[in-house]
Amino acid sequence: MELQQKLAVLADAAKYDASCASSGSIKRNSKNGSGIGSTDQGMGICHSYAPDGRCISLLKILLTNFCIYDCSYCINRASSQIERARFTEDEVVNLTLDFYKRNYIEGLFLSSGIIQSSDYTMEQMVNIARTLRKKHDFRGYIHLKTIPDASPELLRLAGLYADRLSINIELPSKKSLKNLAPEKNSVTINQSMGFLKENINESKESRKKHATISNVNRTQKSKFIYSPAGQSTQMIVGADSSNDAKILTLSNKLYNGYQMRRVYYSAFSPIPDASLNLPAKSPPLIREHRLYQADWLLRFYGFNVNEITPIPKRLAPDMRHHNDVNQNIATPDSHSGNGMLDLDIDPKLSWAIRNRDIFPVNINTASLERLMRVPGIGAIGASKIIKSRRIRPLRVHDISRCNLSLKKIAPFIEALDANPANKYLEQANLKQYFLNLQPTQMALF
Amino acid sequence: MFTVQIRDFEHWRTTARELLQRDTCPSLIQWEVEHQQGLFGDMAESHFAADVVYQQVYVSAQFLSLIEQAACYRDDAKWSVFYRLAYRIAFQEKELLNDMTDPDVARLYTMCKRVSRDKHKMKAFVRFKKMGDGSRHGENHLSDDAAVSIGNQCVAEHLVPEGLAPESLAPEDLIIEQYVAWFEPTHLIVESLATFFTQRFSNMHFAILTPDCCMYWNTKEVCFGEGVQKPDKVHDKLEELWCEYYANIFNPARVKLKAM
Ligand code: SF4
Repeated sequence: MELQQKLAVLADAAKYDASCASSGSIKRNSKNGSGIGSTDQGMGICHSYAPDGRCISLLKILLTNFCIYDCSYCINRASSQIERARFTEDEVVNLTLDFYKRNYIEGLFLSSGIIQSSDYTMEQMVNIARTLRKKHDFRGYIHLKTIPDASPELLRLAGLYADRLSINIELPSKKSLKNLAPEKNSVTINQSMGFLKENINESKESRKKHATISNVNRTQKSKFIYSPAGQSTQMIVGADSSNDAKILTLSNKLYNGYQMRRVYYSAFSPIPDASLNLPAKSPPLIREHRLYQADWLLRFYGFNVNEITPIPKRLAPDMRHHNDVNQNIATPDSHSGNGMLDLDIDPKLSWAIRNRDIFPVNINTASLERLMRVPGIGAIGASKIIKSRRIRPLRVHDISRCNLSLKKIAPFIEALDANPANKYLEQANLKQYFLNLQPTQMALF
Repeated sequence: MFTVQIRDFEHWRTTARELLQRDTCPSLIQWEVEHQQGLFGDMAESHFAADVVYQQVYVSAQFLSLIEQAACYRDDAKWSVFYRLAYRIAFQEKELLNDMTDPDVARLYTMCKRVSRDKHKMKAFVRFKKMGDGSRHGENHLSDDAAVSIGNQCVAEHLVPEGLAPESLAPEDLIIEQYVAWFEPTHLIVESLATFFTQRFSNMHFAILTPDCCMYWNTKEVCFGEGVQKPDKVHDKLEELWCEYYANIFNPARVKLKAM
């Protein structure tokens, strides 16, 4: 098969992976090296945009789409009737370098179907990363998606060459994993995550130590660098009946327990030739979008899962112990308390409407945390408000001077002058007020 | 009112310092970019002869880094905005930069934002094409005239390691991979991105051509040349592979996301 044809097949097979991030690694460049490549500590660069507005920053491909497993949600499963292809190690290395030299990409995101065995596959992936790093001194970004059940030795090696490692959690519950991906094992997935976490933490410690001793007395011992951009995982949404509360609870666990840098949500895409175990339709993509917003609130805005997806008291214990609640979730609505996010409005606004009694918040006196809970005010907006109010007390319309949307924010705040918009807080159909704003009001927070 | 001519940001900075030391009111100065050397106006000269009022003038490091960024902004009106801000910060309102509602402050932030966006765009969207790829059988071997002319220009002037005279190089003797990009930035950012590009592509011989200024890197030294006109398209066969990738990595099931 021609290289171009392989690329077509193996990029197509990789398109179900949500992540294309190249951020969060250590700062690196090729100044004193023999190759090319650099990374920034902050955001990765988006070199192109797909028609749906998503960023394309990495060469995201599968090493092969042959697979001996039969996960029913996956296009590459053994029983699927699709065209198969397999790259050689050198082909992947050269494509990465050639694309990088033209400034098309920030680096490589490599995953793979399983050929022969987990370790056989994982070893080839590690070889590719090693060749890029050692032979070509490539200093761009590398993300390796590790193969389930790969041995700790290979996971250990993988982290020496990759900026980021990931293992997919795949589904929100063990039971669903058993149903839909019978060869996968949630216990070993968790073990691998734990293993990565230990190594990543060890590496962090080593880098910290190095930074503190280097000024005084540089010891011979070099830093241990292991997956410096941490680990991430992906969860498929809508392939089973798990509700958003369950999904977010699991995410929270992954963030706290394994120090995941990101949990990616991937709305289940119906695939050709699908298994009968699966829903015929994908969930609304807006659900995935709301989950990302909720995830953001969990990580950066100090919200907890119960605030975002409140569950009526009598249902709560039941939900906590039971993994798959087989309830009808066809028409999710946050007000019915079924643990689903409201699809019409973003989760912060939805929370604020349910908790309107704690508003209005005074923008001249409220703390940063408090300001960040106001719908329409994000972290940057809140700090702008705080900076500006040091100079003089703010009036309601000063909000728009801080580049914030007054219409969305107005009902929830008070300032130096009278704020007639507060009257909306009294109205029963507060949500309708915001729905009316929506055509022009696209901001997420 | 008198005119002060400046060459670039560094020159503006030293000039502005001298004017501030003499407590020169912003409304008296007209800033102009000097296109030829040595056109210093008499009026300005006489002003610099005035007595120094303040030995030291203080502005914050944050302010300096903001105006350094904003200095890439294409509009020359920026110089008087900078000076007015510097004057007010030094002598009147130390905390001025925190006042987002002040028109000069807002203008400074807008300039910075636009420059930073433009820089980001350039980092993302510069596309290198491989020139004379060194293999005698290479399909992309300085075939069309335009390629030859850009190629030769880069080669002759900048990209070839010292000691190799350009005339001694027939295209097939080029064993070095060379990359050329054409880009049209909105603002004057080429020089400010030299570090980024040379540290990212350290061991690659490349040229980035733009209408304002061109950057050349031979793996050791960076140099800048005059802007050039848009060259004709160069064909790089890797582009076909890239298009293949682009066409396949996108999941059409997701396209509705945009409609939200
Ligand atoms: S192991 Fe991976 S590639 Fe193979 S069928 Fe399962 S999800 Fe698909």
